[in-house]
Amino acid sequence: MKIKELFDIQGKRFFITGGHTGVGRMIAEGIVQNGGSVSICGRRSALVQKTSQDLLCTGFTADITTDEGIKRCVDIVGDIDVLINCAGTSFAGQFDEYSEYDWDKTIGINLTAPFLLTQAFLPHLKGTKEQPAVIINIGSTEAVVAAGGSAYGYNASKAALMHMPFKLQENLAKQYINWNTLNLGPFDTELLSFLDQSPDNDNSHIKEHNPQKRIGTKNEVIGPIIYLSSKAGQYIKGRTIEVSGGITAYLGNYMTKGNYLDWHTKQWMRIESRTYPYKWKRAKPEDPKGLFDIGKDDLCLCNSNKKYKHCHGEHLWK
Amino acid sequence: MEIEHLFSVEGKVALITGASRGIGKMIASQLQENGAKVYIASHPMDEEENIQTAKELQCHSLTVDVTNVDSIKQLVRDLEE
Repeated sequence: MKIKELFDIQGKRFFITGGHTGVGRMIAEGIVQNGGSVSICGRRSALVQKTSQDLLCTGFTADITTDEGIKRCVDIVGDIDVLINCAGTSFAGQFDEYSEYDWDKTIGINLTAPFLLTQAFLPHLKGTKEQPAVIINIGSTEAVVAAGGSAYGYNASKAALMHMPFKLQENLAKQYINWNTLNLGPFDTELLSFLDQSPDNDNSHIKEHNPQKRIGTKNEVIGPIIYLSSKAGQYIKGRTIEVSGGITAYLGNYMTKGNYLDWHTKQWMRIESRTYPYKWKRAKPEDPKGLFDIGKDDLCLCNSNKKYKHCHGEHLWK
Repeated sequence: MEIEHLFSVEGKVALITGASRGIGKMIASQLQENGAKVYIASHPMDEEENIQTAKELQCHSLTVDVTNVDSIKQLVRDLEE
């Protein structure tokens, strides 16, 4: 079979949570470029708007940690071929100060939301024996090593995400749905820039500890996504693929210092030392309030191909 | 990047041992079809079948005993030529 046919995703409908930024945006771009139709959702309306305009995809705001948010996703997006659970967050703090709120917030977005979204989208994932529907969780190398500072909730959520399809695959296989996880290493994203502590913010600290001496590129995440979404990868079920430049095989503890966001004060904190007791200080003066912005609830931008009944917001393309 | 480029194997040189039949043959055939330069290597005992497969797939046949270091070194020399 020719490569073009083997990896073909033309006409497939993708829904990418957190597709407005970071790795989600990279994926959305690759899918659109190769003829897939894409819907994205995120919390920050300005970014959702920008990405949907840039990529000519459908974008809407939703908070997937709420029942209404999940319902909104299903109502707007409807039937899909591929669900990509990409929305994620991280918070790191000292163990004795790591609160229930920190834990719940991280687990809620990274773990509970993919579970509930999968449940909610089951009637809308129409797989056949020849062409199974696909769910891809965006996991992390942090699922198998504890390297990126003291992000207790993040590590636990990503480890659980990797395990989730093991049991559920049994049920999903009957409906011809493949559920796999991609454990990503460092890619050039907003989340990574929080961890970076190089003087010129060029990720050199992170690159230095990668066997490839670099972080991942856009094509290197799009490739595995297309592979799992097409004929080429449809025999892969309930498994995890690591896309990290070999970082976990090479060295577990590759990030020693970093910047973290404190949910309570909404301020950047910097870990100066990983040796206990951790030394903390405020890292960046700017107010990261934007990160908590749920956005205009009715924002929904549609591309020209499809009309959505729940679009009350602007229609940018006619 | 477009799929044809992202997953392209065109012009790549592929060496597959145990490709006169089975999964090895499937791999060889797909790589050949997509523009790679394919070499299939079999144990000297199976050379006849290997040549047959190479003819069928229009790729190149070589021999190697993968349990023998000298034979592996010879294969590398054969490939370099």
